Amino acid sequence: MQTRLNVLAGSFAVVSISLGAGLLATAAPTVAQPLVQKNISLQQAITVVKAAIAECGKDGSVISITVLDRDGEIRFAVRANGANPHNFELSRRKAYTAKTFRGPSANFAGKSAPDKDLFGQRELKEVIPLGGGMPIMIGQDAIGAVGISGAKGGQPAEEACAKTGIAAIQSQLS
Amino acid sequence: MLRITLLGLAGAAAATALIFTAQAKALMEANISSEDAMVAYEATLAECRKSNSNDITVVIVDRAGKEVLLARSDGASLHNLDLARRKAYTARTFRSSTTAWRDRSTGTQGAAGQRYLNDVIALGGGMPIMLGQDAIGGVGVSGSNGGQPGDEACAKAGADAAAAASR
Repeated sequence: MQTRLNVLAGSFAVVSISLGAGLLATAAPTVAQPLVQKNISLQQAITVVKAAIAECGKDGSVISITVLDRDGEIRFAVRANGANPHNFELSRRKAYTAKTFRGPSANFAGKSAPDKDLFGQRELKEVIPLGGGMPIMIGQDAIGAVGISGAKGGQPAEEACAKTGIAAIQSQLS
Repeated sequence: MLRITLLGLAGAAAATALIFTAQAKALMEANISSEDAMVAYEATLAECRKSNSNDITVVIVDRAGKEVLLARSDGASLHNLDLARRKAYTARTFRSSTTAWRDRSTGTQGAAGQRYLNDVIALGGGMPIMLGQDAIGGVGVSGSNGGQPGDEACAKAGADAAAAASR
């Protein structure tokens, strides 16, 4: 008798759990899976840096360069010999700007010019309205960014070197 | 008398010239280059791979204690990059392994107060890049399988490679 009662109680419990599970499944079927996002790896970041340094070195430029991950955190960075104290900071901030606005930092500079409604975005911390930063995109997703400072050709040259760096891992961006 | 004075003036001028010649030159200091920092980084990685530590975070600082190279591993914990940086800084500024500094700055010792400095860290895994008695940089490692001794072994390989490349 005692055993039978336990079995009955057990069945009731199972029914309750089934009902509960059914409700959960209906309400939030995707909650069971963690959010999975693409990010740039250290190895890819090193490849980007080496390609960008080689490209910028063609005219003798010695650059400071930073690659950030999708969170805007440093993945790989190298400061040039003889860099001015501000160069390394600029490389990081250009990369951050490109990452967070998902476009070339030169575009941000244009869109946030003093005569534009978006001028206020320049008040954000860490952004910088200067060319030389490029996002690393997979479709519409910015998985990282690269920023360069110190090229002889200035902002356009820095952006070109950044693009060359990203091109070196383009086949892996899917 | 005039002649003696002139000679005396000439002598004084020569002596002055000697002193100022020495002072007129810029101070020349050896420093770690970004190329040698890359050499150090790769040697650090190679050493760590021997113990199957393939996911380490490394920072290399120059003689001013400023970062020259930062490499955060794919699986790094949030604190690893800061630890690597502070280990490199500590090794550079005290010109010794961070393990040695850790052990001579423990609570009962006179140097314990040094731990209140900004940016230092009393953990092994940092090695100075030495050219003779001159510390031209530092290597800091965090995240190896071997803990602080493991981190230090990797950092030492990197610092030795950087010193060899800098000579």
